[in-house]
This record gives sequence, C-alpha cells and structure tokens, in this order.
Amino acid sequence: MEGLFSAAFAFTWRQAVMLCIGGILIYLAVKKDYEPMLLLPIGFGAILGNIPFSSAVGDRGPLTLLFRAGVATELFPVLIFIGIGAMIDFTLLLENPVMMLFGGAAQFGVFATIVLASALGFNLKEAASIGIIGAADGPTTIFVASRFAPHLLGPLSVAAYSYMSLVPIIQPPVIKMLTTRGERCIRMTYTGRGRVPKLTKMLFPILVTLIAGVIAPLSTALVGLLMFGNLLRECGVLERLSRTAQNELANIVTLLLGITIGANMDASTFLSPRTLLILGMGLAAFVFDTVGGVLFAKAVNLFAPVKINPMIGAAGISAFPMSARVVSKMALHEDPTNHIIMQAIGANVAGQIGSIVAGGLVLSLIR
Amino acid sequence: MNGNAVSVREAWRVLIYGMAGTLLIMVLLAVATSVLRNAVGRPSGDAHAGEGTKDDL
Repeated sequence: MEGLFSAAFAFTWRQAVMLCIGGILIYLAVKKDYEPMLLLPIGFGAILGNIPFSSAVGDRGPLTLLFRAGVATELFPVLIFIGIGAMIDFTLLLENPVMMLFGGAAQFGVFATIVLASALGFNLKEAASIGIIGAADGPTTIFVASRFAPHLLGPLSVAAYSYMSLVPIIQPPVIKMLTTRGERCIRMTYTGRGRVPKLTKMLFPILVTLIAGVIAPLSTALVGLLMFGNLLRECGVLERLSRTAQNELANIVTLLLGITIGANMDASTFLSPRTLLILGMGLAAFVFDTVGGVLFAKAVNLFAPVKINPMIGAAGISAFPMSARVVSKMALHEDPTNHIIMQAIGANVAGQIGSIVAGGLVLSLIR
Repeated sequence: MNGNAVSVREAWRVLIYGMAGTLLIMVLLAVATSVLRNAVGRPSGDAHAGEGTKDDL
C-alpha cells in the first residue's frame, strides 16, 4: 500500500510547473498546430518525466534508456535525416543552382547567435548548441546539442521546433524592415520547366556528400545520411525503401525522439532563467538568419545584371516549406501578379543543405 | 570574466570561419551542380514534368 499515492504527496512546485508546461505544449500542438509531431510527444514526455517517482525515467526507466541509446548517441537525429532526405525534391534547386548561395547566407543566424550567447555568459559549447537553433532544423539542433550540451536539450528542442512553426510571424516584419516596396516587387523570371534528368538527380546527392564530406568531414554523418535518403528517392529502383524512409522510419524515430526528449526535461534544469535566455536567443537566431539572407541578396543585387527579389534571401532558411510560402505570399501581397514561389522553394531546399553544412562546420570548429 | 572574454573571442572566430566555410561549400556545390547539369544535359521530351527518362541514364 505504501507505494500507492506516494507521488501525490511528493510533488514539488517545480514539477507541477513542468506538468503545466507539458500541457501547454500539447495544447499548442493540438489547438494551434505548432509542429504537433514533435511538440505533442515532448509535452507528454514532460508530464511522464516529472511525476514524482515516475518509473518511465530513472536508471531503469524505458525513456531514460531510450535517451541514452538514441539521443545521447546521436542516433535518432541521424536516422531522421534519412527520412528527410527521402522527402526532399531538389528539382527546383537543380534548375537554378545559384539558389545554393542563399541557403548558405541564411545560416548567418547560427553563427551570430553563438557570439550573442557567448557574450551572455554561456560557454562556447553551450553557445554553439544555442546558435544551431538558427539552422531552423530540429534534427540538426538535437544532433549538435546532444554532443555539446545534452543538459540543454529540452529547452533547445522546444525553441527549435516552436520557432519553426512561428516562421510566418517572425520573418515578415524583419523582411519589411530591410526592404523597400520596390525591392519586394522585383520580378524574377522562372525559366525552368520542372524537369531535370534522372541522372542529374541521382548524381547530385553523391556529389554533395563528397564535397561537404571532404571539406568538413564532421558533417559527413549529417550530410551523408540526408543525401542517402535522397538517393533512395531518386534512384528509381528502391521505391519501397524510399517510402519506408519517408514514412515508417521518420515517423517512428520522430515519435521516440519527441517523447524521450520531453521525459528528460527535468524540472531543476528546465525551470531556470537560462531557459528563458535560450528561448530569447532562439528567436534572435531566426531574426539573424532572415537579416543575413536578405542583406546577402541585396549585396548580390549591387553587382548582378539581373536583379533578384531580396526576399528570396529570407527563404534560404531550412524551415521548409513555410519560409518559401511566407516570401511568396509577401510578393503576391505587394503585387498580385508577381509569382516567385519557384525561386523561393529553390532557396528553401538549399537552406536544408545549408543548415546541415553549418551544423557540420560548428562541429568542426569547436572541439 | 576573463574566461568569458576568451569564449566571446572564440565565438567571433567561429562566426568568421563558420560563415566563410558555409558560403564556400555552398558556392562549390552551386558550381559543381551547374557543371553536372551541363554535363548530363536536358531530359528527353517525352517525360512527365519532374521526371527523367530511361535515355537519361
């Protein structure tokens, strides 16, 4: 009998707050549709992990075991990359490879936020884990954070996934602040036809893996498995494996990743002023990304004979397809006949490559 | 405080090298992709949008 009701009398106020936070995350996932695939498991995991004497966590708790096996080893985020790679269609990027540059420029938020976090007193590895929120790519954030700052995984994951959902709110004011109406109305001719030879699509993932891997070998796990997933998709002879990677593999790992991270959101580490700072800097990272992308596009316009709509730069972040949609909607708002969605999607998928390249470089530069 | 100053200096180094490295890799990828695209050529005309054909291989 003594085991029964013991939790009811052992609750601390911190654990009660964590249960409320878990509830809020579930609410945001269900009612507001903010990245429900991750926020709902994280929210429920936070509840499971913060019930006093919970058997779900602890030395023999299944969720702690999963954390050690899948998150601490970086296995889960890497497996998700295979699924993401199998979902990405690089056709629009292959038609217009110049968009790669915007996928790189919009990673400015990653590196600028590392400086900001360091200035605010975080050590370099913690700062790098915070900065990587700017990759706008959950698995990359988790991959880097599990190596550099596993104790911050909870707030980092919540920040990364929440802000990805908030891209339509975060980006437009920043873009408007940095561009004139005339610039937002710049037209871009779409010359592609949505057709790229199958051989090009097949060789592309191998090429990307080789180039990124040779320059920054520590990015090979990230880039390589993303591109492996893409090769499954494009080779044309592994339809079943491609579908499995896109659906079953990605879904199962996402489910386990979310609940595992949530269950390890311990009240004593999550409920601290540092969490608020991390959430604030996550927002700053997305703002810096947008600033970097837009200013880079404006800089290109100083020299380019054919002007680029600078909003395309903002679509270079990895949040796909939200960012491309935001930019396209803004262009249509200024001029209902100005369609730049194709170019924006090209920059947006380049951002998916750019974010993992940036993640690999962060791993290479900080030891 | 001194440790923090070192950390900030290191962070600036990561910013400069990280951004330069990211842009360099993306430029190389853009160039390599253009070369690849030109080497392989255009798809044959009988394919559906977004698809290649057997001839492409």
